[in-house]
Amino acid sequence: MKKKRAFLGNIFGKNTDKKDLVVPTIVPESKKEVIQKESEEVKLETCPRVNQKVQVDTTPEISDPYFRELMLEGQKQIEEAQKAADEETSKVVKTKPFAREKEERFRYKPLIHKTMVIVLLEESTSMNEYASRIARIINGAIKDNCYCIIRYGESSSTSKQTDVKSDSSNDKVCFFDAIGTLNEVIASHDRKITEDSINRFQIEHFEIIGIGTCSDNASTTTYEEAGTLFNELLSKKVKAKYFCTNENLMPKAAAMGFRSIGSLSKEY
Amino acid sequence: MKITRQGCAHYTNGMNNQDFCYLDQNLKMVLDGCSEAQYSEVGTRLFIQVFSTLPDRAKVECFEENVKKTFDELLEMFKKWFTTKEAVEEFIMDNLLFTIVACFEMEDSFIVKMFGDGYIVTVNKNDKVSYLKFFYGKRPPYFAYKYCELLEDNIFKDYHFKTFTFSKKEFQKVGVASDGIQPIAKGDIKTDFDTLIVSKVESEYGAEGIILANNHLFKDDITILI
Repeated sequence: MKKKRAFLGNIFGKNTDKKDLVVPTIVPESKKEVIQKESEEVKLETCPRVNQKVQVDTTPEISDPYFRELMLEGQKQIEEAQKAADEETSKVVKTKPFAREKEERFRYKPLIHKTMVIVLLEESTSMNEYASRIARIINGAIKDNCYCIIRYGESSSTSKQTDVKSDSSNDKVCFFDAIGTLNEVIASHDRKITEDSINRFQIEHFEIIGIGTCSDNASTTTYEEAGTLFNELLSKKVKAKYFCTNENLMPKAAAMGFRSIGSLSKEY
Repeated sequence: MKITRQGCAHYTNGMNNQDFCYLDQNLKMVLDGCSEAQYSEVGTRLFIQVFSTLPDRAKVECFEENVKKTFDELLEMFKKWFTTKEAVEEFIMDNLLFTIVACFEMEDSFIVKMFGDGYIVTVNKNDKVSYLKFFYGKRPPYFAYKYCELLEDNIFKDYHFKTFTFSKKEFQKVGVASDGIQPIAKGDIKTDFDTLIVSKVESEYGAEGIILANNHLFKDDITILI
């Protein structure tokens, strides 16, 4: 026991008698194991409290290669344990309060049904004098960003611009082709879900606002094709109204199937 | 379908239903009395009583002439009591201010004649109902203004009937209505009113029920003839 204590004492820097350390030269195998176990226990005990630096006596006076080996190994293990403990403490510091804030929390976003406004806007010379009134109608109909404007003259195109061109010099109008474009727009937006930070939005209804003469002279689509296509659209959740440039054109819009029809000119 | 009901604003103000409608052979006619006039409901009923006695009342080509004849007849009747020009014009302003919307069913088309504001209701070949709105602000033109010479800035003196033709190839039904049906045309009513219009079965009770259920929305008198 004295020898063991001497060895342990040497590890923890206690002053031990050098003579005691030099004496044993041959250690039986069973004893070796005991010593090793004990030394490991000591190391494990010291590991959690490693903040106090352990001084290991590695003086060349220890001539026994076995003890020397044991001491070096122990030193290495202690250093590793110290490192691991340091790393753990540093990790805990990093993950504590700030990391939780960055985590994305689950948040319920209610689904809100929306109505998309689609404006079918004719661009021809006959529309020039009603530019200001048309602008008022469009701005009155658009309540939020959920809208689309299909402009049709010689060809039809979709845009988000609400301004009305008052310098159009085009007499060609492809109203029936524009109904094809309208069908594509509705198909691509029907029941589409978008979301912001608070809510989710689903386009459930459509409101079509046609503005123009309801006439056509340049379409590749026939009147019958456009009529059946528009009729199919109206069977969905679609409200359609039309503003004709003058009252004599209103029967045309009625034949097409627009529900509510008015006139831009109020002159009798 | 023939419906005429008092609007809720008229009910609360103690006013009668100022609209009146007339159905005869191929002719449907709606008269919408001016709300500002004191007895416009009297005028609408007197007009129809006299008009219905005319022999060629169902002929579209004679319609404008027949309307003029009826007004002349009415003024002649009351000449005895209103001797001065001022008195006659006052009588006109109190009684004869109403819009006239008439629809004639021809062999291949429907012809609508209109003087003043109102609605034309159509059903196209795909069973889609349309409401054509004719609106001229708070001071619509009335036929009776043609007889008002003392009226200041009478811009309506030279006004004439507007004519609209609806081909039977494209339209199944064409009817006429007063501007009181605005809540239906605008889609303020959640119940599907259009199916009742499209329906081939007479559905007046159903339509009246819907109007009654949404009575608070119908401020003005409602008249539909389709």
